[in-house]
Amino acid sequence: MKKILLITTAVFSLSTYSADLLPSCHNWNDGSSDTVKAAIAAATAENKKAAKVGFEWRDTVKFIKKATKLSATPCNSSALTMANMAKAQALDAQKQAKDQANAGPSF
Amino acid sequence: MKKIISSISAVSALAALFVMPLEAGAKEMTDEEVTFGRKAGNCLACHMIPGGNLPGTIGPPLLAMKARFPNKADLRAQIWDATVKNPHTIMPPFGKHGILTEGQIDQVVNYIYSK
Amino acid sequence: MKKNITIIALAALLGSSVAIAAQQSAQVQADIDAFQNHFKAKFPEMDLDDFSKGPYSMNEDKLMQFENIMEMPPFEDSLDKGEQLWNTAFKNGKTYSSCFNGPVEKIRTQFPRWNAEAGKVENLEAMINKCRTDNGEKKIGWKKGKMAFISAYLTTAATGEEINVIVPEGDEKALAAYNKGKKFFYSKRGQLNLSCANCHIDSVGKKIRGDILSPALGQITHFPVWRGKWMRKKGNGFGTIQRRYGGCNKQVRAKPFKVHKDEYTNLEFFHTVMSNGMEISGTEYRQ
Ligand code: HEC
Ligand code: HEC
Repeated sequence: MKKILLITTAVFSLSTYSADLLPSCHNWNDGSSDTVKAAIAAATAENKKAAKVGFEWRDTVKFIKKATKLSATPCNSSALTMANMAKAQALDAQKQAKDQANAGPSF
Repeated sequence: MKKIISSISAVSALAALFVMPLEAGAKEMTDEEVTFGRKAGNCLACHMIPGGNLPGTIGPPLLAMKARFPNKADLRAQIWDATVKNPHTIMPPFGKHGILTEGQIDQVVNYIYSK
Repeated sequence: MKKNITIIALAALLGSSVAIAAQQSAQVQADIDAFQNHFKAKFPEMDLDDFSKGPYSMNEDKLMQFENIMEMPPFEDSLDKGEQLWNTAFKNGKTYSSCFNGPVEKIRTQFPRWNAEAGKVENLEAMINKCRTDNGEKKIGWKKGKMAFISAYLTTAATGEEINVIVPEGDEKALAAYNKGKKFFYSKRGQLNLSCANCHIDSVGKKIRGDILSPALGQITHFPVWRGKWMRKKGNGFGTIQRRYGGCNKQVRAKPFKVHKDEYTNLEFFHTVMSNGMEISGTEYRQ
């Protein structure tokens, strides 16, 4: 849980000054940086799990697609951000599925 | 560094339709815009807030917030994740689910705390 | 149990009158009572059938506007088209009515229904497409267009008929499908973390921005509907109930499911059963 919060916070609090803390931008010409690739793969895997339990969110795949597209450009720190954001959503969706395991009427 | 920033704002522009959190980085929205905007806080969907048009009536009017929340952090916590106080709440967990960025939540808190 | 299954299989062959003979699951009947009593207690001045007017049932001015529009509904041509399609023979000479039981006004209320043999719920639109493929025709699109015209024609023909969807007592699989639909309805989902019940039970009659929220009770009595919003979106305004489900999922930022898969069909099963005893009100206008 703490970890999810941390990830979420890290991902969503991105602002210009934190951008240079993100890795992978030193790699100007390597669009297929392993970090980004791994992040996209992780987001995709987690989102599949969310879909499997029937709780996928609307925009997660869009983020993954954007991340993939961005990873082709020279500087891909945005790709990493986007991929991590998708992964955070997928984890939140899985947690939501668990929280709703006993959903039912209140009357 | 400059390049990083500009590529981030390029992303924001590209993804503006659905990537609200990144767009926030651009700091273009005023506190009121973040609070009222349909694609941002959209608090008016459920709450009457002085100065906002077409308010919903699902939640209580957001008035006299200083009296309701002497401790500003409690107000922030309510917006960050309303399910802590009420697990069945209808109010979306704006921080927990990344609907708004931390910075945007601060903006919303500031805005409604002045009401 | 075996006996039940044969009865149901027979029923499928012989028609709805026998199917209705299957007994409602006691658990489901208890759910229906609790659900309907909740609304009756919350809105004691309303009759059961009043709830079918959706958001308009919650506001007198809007109800008047609605009734004015329904004097000369903007979708009459499409209903005529639906009737025409219904009566047009396939290449093999048969028509849709050869796939259904009973006269045209008795078809709508047979669906959604539990098909024990197939072990799943069938809704009206699924049976329309099955009828096509059984007769060597291609499937048509699920959510709007011709499908919605035909379905709307059948809904309108059934005006005044009573909803009576049965989850057969003793059929574990039927109960499981119902329970899946029920859980779907009450689960918070999407980034906004909202369940159908949050809006259509907890917040009925309240406003979300400018929209008044309709009660879940009676939400299915008038589908497909003709919506101004769908008209503006291209197409001709009609949409099936499952098209609407997709819209309500998207607005909470959940990924909508494909129509006519188990998720929405089980939801439709639950959602319709909850309105048992209400009258079909015919296809209606919505904002
Ligand atoms: C979908 C409806 C909905 C939306 C959107 C929504 N809220 Fe709420 N809010 C509620 C409800 C309902 C309550 C009542 C308490 C509860 O049920 O948890 C509430 C309670 C609150 C409270 C506590 C009020 C009090 O006096 O205790 C605050 C503060 C608040 N909301 C702020 C906001 C802000 C700021 C936003 C926009 C970022 C927002 N809400 C968006 C539904 C909503
Ligand atoms: C955020 C609130 C919200 C949630 C959650 C929601 N809806 Fe809706 N729904 C609306 C609004 C707004 C309308 C249009 C006004 C009305 O009819 O209530 C609507 C309309 C409908 C209608 C059309 C009713 C009619 O008579 O035309 C149906 C059916 C429906 N919703 C079903 C569902 C189902 C099933 C779910 C869960 C998958 C769901 N809704 C979740 C807000 C919501």
